[in-house]
Amino acid sequence: MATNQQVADAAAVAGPVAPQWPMPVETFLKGPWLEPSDVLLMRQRSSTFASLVRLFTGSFFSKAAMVFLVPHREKDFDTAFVIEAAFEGVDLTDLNSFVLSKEKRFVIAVKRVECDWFDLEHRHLVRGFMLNYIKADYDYGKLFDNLWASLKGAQFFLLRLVLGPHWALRQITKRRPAERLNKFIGPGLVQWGYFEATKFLVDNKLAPAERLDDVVFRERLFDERAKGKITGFDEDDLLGVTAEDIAKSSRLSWKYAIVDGQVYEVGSGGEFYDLLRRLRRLRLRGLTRTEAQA
Amino acid sequence: MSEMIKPGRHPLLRLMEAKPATETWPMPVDQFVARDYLRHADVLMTVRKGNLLSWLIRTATKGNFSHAAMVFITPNYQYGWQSTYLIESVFSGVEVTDLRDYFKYRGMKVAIQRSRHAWLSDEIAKRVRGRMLGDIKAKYNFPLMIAMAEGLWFSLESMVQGHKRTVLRRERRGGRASPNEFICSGFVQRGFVLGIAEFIRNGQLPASALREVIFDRDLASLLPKDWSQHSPAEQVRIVDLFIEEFTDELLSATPRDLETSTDLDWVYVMADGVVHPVTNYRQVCELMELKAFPG
Repeated sequence: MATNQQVADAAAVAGPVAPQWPMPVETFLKGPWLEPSDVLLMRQRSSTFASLVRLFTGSFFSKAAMVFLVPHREKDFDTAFVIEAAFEGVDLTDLNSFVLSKEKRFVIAVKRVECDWFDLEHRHLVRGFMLNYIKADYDYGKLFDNLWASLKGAQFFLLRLVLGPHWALRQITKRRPAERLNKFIGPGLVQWGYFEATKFLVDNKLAPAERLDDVVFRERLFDERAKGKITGFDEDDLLGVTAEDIAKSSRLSWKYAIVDGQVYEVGSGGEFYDLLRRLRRLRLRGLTRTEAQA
Repeated sequence: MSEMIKPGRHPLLRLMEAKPATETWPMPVDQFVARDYLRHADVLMTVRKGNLLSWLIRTATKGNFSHAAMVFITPNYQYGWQSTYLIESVFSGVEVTDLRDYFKYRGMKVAIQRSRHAWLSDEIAKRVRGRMLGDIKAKYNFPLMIAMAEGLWFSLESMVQGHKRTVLRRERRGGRASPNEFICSGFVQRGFVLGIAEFIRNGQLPASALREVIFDRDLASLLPKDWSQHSPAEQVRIVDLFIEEFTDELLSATPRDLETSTDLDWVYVMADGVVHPVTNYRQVCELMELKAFPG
């Protein structure tokens, strides 16, 4: 039987071949499974800060990012990169720094927009729009900006505790979206990238307006629109999307789970959470056995 | 409907992707960066008059320019890019930035250099810059004052002892590396060398190409002048050994090495919100009000 590495190599040459799951993450990243603009939901098990974020947002995940480029689509790169909102602004990060880090212990869910019209060109358009928010760090003045951003972030975090994420977002600043995207609204960046790119096509009559519905990841907004409470999608509502909204969104399909260096194929949220429970049980059983043997 | 959603065919998007029918120079920066005038692996050299960091670096490296970066993405590369993006080493690490952001800084002037060698095809240039993205690391996030103090200390050291010597001493000693903003041109230099070496190893480029991307003339002179005396396998071995032995020296390349390189042509100057095409160093110095170095 072919190994996963052979499958990845073969897939790179001859197109997809039935892979074996679970698969080592290194093989997964070299193969054709990840696509640009895939959404990554992350849960960092080793960070107190991430635990606090999860606690206050009521979400299983603490962070969201988007796949920026994958080596099977762009041969001049060695590895996959993600675009994410961090304290100091929007940045590109090597995906290996999340998936291969044993200290950070990330659990990652990969979700994907799978509408017929959402082809590779659209995927590239979404990430292209997100790159507009990347910031320049030319001199020491940026350090002061970062300090200011951190203070603003702390203020937002406190307001979020008291008022909830959406009201906090309204309160924190009235500036343009690019300046509001920070560590606390990483999922908002993902949502904004999808929405802005699709809106660009709609505004330029390259796509019908209904397509916007396919890229809004907060289910509550559709309910509110159906009840006549809102007529369209407000910037604050979109930027205030949480990791939990993305996890629950039916607009994104569940594709993979990355846990402890292995990648599992999952078909639904239920499958994803069941898998984690199963792995936790196995780990606990393994630990107990090791202790008994010791 | 399927015709309607083919984005690349739409006139508006074609407008984003192509040069205008008539070009007027000097051209506004916004118009320039949104079109395909720049190429992958073009080198950007910047100077910022009236800025302390820029002055410190220019004084330490005895050159006209204080920062070097490389073109990472151009708008014509793929559907979706709307600007020209750079890859550069700055104080917080290796970053990708939007060229338009440079002009948010007062007094910023940029000169653009391009390899004069026809063998540097777009395929090779894309790999050079793609290889550099692998250097993106976690941010250092060290406290504000320490970062500034470290930069000031480094610049004082390099003013007294010379920039190359300071970088080499720190790299060899280990532990306390040179601040990223001071090795920006070394980062560009290293990117070229590591990217080109792959093509030499694969036999897609002759080993002599390596010399043409080493901007420090003294360092380049260490490579064989006549490669034909060596077998293909020996040539690859020499290239690998050279990179292994002189990694630190490559990283210590200064903006002045790039400024005085005969392997790079000057192609544009961006100053005061407009872009001028240029053909030589003298023109660059005139437009940027710099003192030209001889040779």
